[in-house]
Amino acid sequence: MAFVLAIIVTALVAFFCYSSMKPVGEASNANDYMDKEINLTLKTDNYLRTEKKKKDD
Amino acid sequence: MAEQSVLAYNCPECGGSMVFNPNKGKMQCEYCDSLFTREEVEKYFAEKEQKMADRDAGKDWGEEESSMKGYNCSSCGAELIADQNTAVIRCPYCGNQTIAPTQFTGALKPDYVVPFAFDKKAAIEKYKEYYNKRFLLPKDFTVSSKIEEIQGVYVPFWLFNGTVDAEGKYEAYDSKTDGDYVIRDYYDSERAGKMGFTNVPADASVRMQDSLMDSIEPYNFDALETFTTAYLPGFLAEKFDVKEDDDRSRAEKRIEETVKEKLHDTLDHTGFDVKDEKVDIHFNETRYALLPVWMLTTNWNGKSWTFAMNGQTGKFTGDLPVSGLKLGLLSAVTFIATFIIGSMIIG
Repeated sequence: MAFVLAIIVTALVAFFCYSSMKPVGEASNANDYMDKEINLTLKTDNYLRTEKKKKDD
Repeated sequence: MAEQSVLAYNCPECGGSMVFNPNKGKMQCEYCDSLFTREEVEKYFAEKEQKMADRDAGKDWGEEESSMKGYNCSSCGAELIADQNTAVIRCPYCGNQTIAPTQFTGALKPDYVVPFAFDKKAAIEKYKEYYNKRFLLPKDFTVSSKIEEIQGVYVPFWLFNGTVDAEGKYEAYDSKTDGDYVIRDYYDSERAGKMGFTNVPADASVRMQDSLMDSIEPYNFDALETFTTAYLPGFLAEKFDVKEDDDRSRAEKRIEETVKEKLHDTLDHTGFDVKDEKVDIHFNETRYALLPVWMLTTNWNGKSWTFAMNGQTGKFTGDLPVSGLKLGLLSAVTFIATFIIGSMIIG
């Protein structure tokens, strides 16, 4: 058990240290350059149906 | 249209004045009798105004041209410009030291610039701080880095302005539990809205890695200044080589992603599935700006490693090499320590 724990911890530490050396990412959105909120012109929510399912399904 | 604006249109063929001919339902030149629909005339003058605006943005540098010089990198082809007192020792993009001076050919003059907020000394200190925190960095890499050769470069950018209309149809749901059961109420949800965007940037340099520039964003465009060569001494600037139209798709992708996220935020439900979404982006103004970047390119182990720092905010990025020896050592120590501690606790 201690062996498995050591493997997992070692892999995590190595992964995070390695990732810190490769920080280049891609800007995915333009949040900083757009209006804070969207000005909504339409907002509707029409009830469709209700479903009841057992948790294990 | 008001009478005043009808008389303001001149014939696209001969330049004569035009009047509206009610019998033909078109505008007619009083000199050459050419006929045009209202739409054709308005389109012609809209294009003409756009060409004049483009020419103004790319106007020659006037008397400032004599204080500029050009450089060309023989290795990567980067075309750089600098004021006459700034020497270029190595290419900031590939680290090549063979930089040939060329004639300054009057590249498109920028509209705006975000000036550098801190000097080379401060940039070097930030780089050193970044390196020192990276335990896995190979020792000889920091030696060969020559941090003092860090170069301030104004990178060309297109800044896009406009508005975006978006609409979406979703099947949203609210979930709750009742004993062993999960109850979901489903809704047919529709949203539509509008947002404005200002100065969405896309770098206009083929040489500059897009991911590198994206990583050092954002820039604060409140600091945007009208460009003059007074900002250049001591720094390089690169000529743009990605046209505005070619860069637009990058801006569109970012805008689309943001506006969809904003629409999703208005769905006040537990979850949702997207049935249909539509985004219409309307660009109304594009500006050509230079944004500050401190750059350092190091050639190590047969590869070029480029680091970039936002010259306004100091945000830093760049892939770093990993020392296999140090990574192995770290892994071994972590494994042994965890195993010992785990054995003592778990048994």
